[in-house]
Amino acid sequence: MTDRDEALGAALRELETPEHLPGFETELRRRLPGRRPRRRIAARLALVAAAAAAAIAAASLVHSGGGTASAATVQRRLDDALRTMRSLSAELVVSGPSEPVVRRWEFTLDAKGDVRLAGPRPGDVETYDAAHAVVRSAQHSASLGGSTIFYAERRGVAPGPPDQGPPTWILPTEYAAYVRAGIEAGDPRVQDVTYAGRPAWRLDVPGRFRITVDRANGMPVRVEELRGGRVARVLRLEHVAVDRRLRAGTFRLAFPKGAEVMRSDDGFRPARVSARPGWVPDGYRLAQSMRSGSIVSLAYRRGLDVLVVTTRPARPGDPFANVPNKLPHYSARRGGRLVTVAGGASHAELIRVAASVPAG
Amino acid sequence: MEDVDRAVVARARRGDQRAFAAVVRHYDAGLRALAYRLLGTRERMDDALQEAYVRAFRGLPGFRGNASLGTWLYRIAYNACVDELRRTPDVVPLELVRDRPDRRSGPAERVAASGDLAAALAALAPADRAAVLLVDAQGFDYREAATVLDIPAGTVASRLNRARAHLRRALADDTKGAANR
Repeated sequence: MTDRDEALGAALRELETPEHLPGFETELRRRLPGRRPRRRIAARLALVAAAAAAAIAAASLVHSGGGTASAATVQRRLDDALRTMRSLSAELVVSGPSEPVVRRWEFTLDAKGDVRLAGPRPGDVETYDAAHAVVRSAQHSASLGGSTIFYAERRGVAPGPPDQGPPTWILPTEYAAYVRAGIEAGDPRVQDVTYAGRPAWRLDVPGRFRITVDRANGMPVRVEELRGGRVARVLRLEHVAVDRRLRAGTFRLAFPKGAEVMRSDDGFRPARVSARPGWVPDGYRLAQSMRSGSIVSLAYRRGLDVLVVTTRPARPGDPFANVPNKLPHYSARRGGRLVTVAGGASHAELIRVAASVPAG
Repeated sequence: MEDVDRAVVARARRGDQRAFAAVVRHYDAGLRALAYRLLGTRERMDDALQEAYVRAFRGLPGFRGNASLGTWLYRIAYNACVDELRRTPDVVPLELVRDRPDRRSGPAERVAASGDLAAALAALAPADRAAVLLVDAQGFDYREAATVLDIPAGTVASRLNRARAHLRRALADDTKGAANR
C-alpha cells in the first residue's frame, strides 16, 4: 500500500531532464563487451503484444446481454449505494498487463471515514482512525525480506487530497467518484450483463474504462482501465459485504508490546473554521474540520461518500493545487487563497462548492 | 512500472548488446531524471549512468528476478549516483547556479532566492530526494523504493514525509516572499 502525492509527482515530472551528452551511446558501446544479435527483436515484440491482447480478450469474465438501463440510472444506483451504506468490506484484486503480479487487499470502510486495509502480503495491515486522524501500519520490509515487520504511526493526518490523507487511493469510495466522473464525461453505452453469476450493468466509456456495476448492491465490482485501446489494469471486488457488524478495534491497529514504532506527524489538528462553503450537495455533513498552519481541510461525508474542501494560500503554479487524476476535483482562486474541492460530486457541484467558499 | 519483455531480457542476459540497448532505452528517461536530480549536472549524470549501465550489463547474467528488472536497474543506478556524490560532494545543481543571486549563500538562502521546486528539491538530502522522486514522480510503491534505496519500507515513508514537508515549507516561504516583494 503506497500513499502517493500525485500532485507533487506531476510537478516533479515537469522539471526539465537533459538528454545525454553527445557520444554517450558510443562510449557505452565501447565499454560493453558482447556479441551481435541473431534475430530482430521488433518482430518478436509485436508477436508477444498480439498474444497478450488476445489473452486479455479471452479472459473477460463479463458476458453481455441486451441493453436497458441508462447511464443516469446506473449513476443514481451508485450514488444511492454510497449514500446509504454504513460500512463496506470486500477483497480488492488488482491485476492486468501493467501489474507485475496479482495483488489482493482486504478492506473495511465505514461512514465515519475509518479505513482498514490488509495485504497484499499476509501480516501487512494499515488502519485510519478518522476521529483521531491517525494512520497506523504494520508492514514487511521489501529490502530485508523475511518476516520482519515494521510498525509506524502517522498523527495529524489530513482528511484527503490534495494533502496526503489516509490510505484510500484505491478504495471504492474514491473509485466510485472516479467512475461517476467517467460516466458523466464519457456518455457510456450500458448493457445488462451477468457478472460472477449476478445481474450487473456494464458501462463502456470509450477509450477509458469498462465498468461493471453489481445491480443489487450498486458497487463497481470490476473496473478495466484502458490505455491505447487495450486493458492496462483490472480492479475487481470480491466477497463484498455491506453493513456487516464490525468488531471493536477494527480501525485502530494495536502494536505488539515492546514493538519499535516509527512515529511522525503531518501537522493537522482539529480546529473551528468559520470560512466554510456556503453550499454542499444534498446529504453531506461536516465530519472533520482540521488546520495545519495556514492550510484548512474540511471533510464532508454522506454515507461512504466524502468531499474534501481545502484552502491554502494561493501561489502561481502551486503543485498542491492539483489532485490525483483518479479523483474528481476542482481548484479555484478565491481572493488570496486557493480552494480545492475533491471527491464524490459532479463537475457542476464541485464548482458550486468552490464558489461558495468565502473569499479570503 | 512496466518491465521489458522477458525474451529481450533473456537475450540481454546472454550478452546481446542490442537487446541490452532496448532495456536501457526502456528505463533511460526515468533513470536520467533520477540521476540528474541527485547529481545536478549533465556530466555527472552521464558518468553515473555509464557506470550503472556497465555494471548492469555485467550483472545481468546473475539477475535472479527477485525484484523486477526495473527495480534492480534503478538500484544499480542509485548506487552509482551515491558513489558519484561521495567522489565529488560539493557540486551545486544547475538550477541553483542559474537562479541564485549570490554564490556565497547557503542552501536555505538559495532556495528562498530561486523560489522554485527544483531548488527546493535540490536542498533536500539526497536520500530524501531519491525517495520523493521514486515514489511521487516515478510511481514506485514503498516496497520497490525500499528495494532501490536498500532501506526498510517504513524508512521510505519517513523520508517521504520529511521531503514533502520540506517542499511544502519551501513553497510556502516562497509565497510569503513573493507577497512581500
